[in-house]
Amino acid sequence: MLTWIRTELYKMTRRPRSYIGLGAIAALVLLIEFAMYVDGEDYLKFILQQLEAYFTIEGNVLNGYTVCFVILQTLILQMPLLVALITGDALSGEAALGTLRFMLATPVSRTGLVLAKYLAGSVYVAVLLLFLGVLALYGSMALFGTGDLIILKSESLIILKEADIHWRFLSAFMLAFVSLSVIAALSMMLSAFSNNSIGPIVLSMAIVIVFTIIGSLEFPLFDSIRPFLFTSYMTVWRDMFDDPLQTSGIIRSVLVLILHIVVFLSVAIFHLNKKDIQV
Amino acid sequence: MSEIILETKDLTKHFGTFHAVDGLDLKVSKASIFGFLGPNGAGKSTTLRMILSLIKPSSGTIRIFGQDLRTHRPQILGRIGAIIEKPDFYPYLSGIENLRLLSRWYGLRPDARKIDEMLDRVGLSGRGRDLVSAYSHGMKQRLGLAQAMMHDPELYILDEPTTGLDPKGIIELRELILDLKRVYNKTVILSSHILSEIELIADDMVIIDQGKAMVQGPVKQLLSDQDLSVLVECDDTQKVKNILDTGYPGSSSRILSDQVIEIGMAHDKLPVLAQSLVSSGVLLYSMEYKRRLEDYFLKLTQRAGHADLDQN
Repeated sequence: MLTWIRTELYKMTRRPRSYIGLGAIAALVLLIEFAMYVDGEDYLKFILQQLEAYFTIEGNVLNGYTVCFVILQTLILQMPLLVALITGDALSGEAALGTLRFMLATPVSRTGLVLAKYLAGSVYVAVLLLFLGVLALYGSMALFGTGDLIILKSESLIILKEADIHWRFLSAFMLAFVSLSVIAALSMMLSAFSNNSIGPIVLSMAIVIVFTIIGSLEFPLFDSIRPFLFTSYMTVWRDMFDDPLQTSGIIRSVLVLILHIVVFLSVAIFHLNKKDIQV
Repeated sequence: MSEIILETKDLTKHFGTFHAVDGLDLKVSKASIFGFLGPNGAGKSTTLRMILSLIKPSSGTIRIFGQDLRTHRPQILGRIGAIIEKPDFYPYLSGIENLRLLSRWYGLRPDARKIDEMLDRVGLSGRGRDLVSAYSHGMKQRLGLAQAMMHDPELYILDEPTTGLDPKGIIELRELILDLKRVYNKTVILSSHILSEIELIADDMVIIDQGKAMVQGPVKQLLSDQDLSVLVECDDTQKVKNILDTGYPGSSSRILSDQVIEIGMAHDKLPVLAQSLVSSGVLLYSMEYKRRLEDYFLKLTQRAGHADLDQN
């Protein structure tokens, strides 16, 4: 299995497509950091203007943690596309190339192949997040320094002390990893059903977008549906910035996400094992 | 009797109501070249894919190396090298990198020397570092052969391996396949549209049509059962026809031009005929077999629309 994961990773590193995600992240993070560097003060003033009517805000508010939080809020929504771009192509891309035929005519097991591709996809997700983390967190800390993190929620204001923030970001990145791993599993499952590269990528994104929209619409009709949409749990990383932490809610979300990974992968494995390779 | 390396029993595959393969019984002997013939849509590729476990049979069994494919898939596939239809590789990797990956799938450590040796053997030395996206179809076909040989399999399954090769490549491939059998004692299942190819190198063959085996057995025996059709080029075709009509009852003849006559007769009578033509003063320029297997094939399958057969 380790060998197969290594071969999948090797292929990934040699495909130009794999670097699109890293390039997009680098471009967007640097752009946001530049914008915050130039206009950050005004941006924060606009956001905090209501608060300043009641409170005196002192210290380095425009700090690296604040900028990183803004970047995460903005980018985490686009990350599923970058993940699906790679994992949605994992099996269907091989089928379209004709290499799936060669691969499955060797002793490689179909179940092993799905797992190897998924685990390689997870490594890619981890690399994306690590890259994002280094650029967004440490890059912003280097540019803007550190300080307390002020988070405005719809019904509350959370102020996290400087010493209490770093671990929260690291945990948030880990939770984002679990969330994006669901996207990897979903697109892998769709990939097992298809023989062309683009279909599973587009369908994965369509599902994420539709579920996210349904999940965010404040209609009572959707209240009963929301708990069954995996996208409702994908924002669990934000819960790391609650004070106090809602640990049981976080654990529940993680378990639901892991359950989705297991179900999606099981369907992919079941289908691929039954599938006749005719292309 | 030689050892049977591959055996299918009542092998059947249907897609919905369409029977692609219908109760196929095959026996392939060890260290032989087995020709697999049939028109397009006859069920050749489906059969080969079932043998490689790419397609699941609807019913029937496949035993390879004495083991059931369903229960011993990894062990069996580790001993088979295959090219199925067109050889496809990762275009963003070089030929060498592709072979390295393929080695790993077979659980082997990529061996640079072995890769170079294989590339040399298929005539790709010096091109291994080029990206596969820059390869021609013929080069990919050669790389496919190198890929099939990398893990030194006992059984080769080659589906249309000459497609895209130039004449020199076809001759080299023929020699390579013969060497696999003669020098390395390997078994080759060769599916081809080029009937002369099968006739030249296969020991045994099966002709399938509409998913069923029409005939199976040693090529020589199957073809010797047939009357031979020979094109004779000489100075006096009428004289030849008279000799045949008077001295060779049961033979047939048809004058095609002033100098060419087509003769149909039993295989063993041919040397005697040649001798008597010469002694009768006929100037004999050439005697050439007409495609026997081609005729045989068409006679067996007897279906319209066999224009897909390669007349090479």
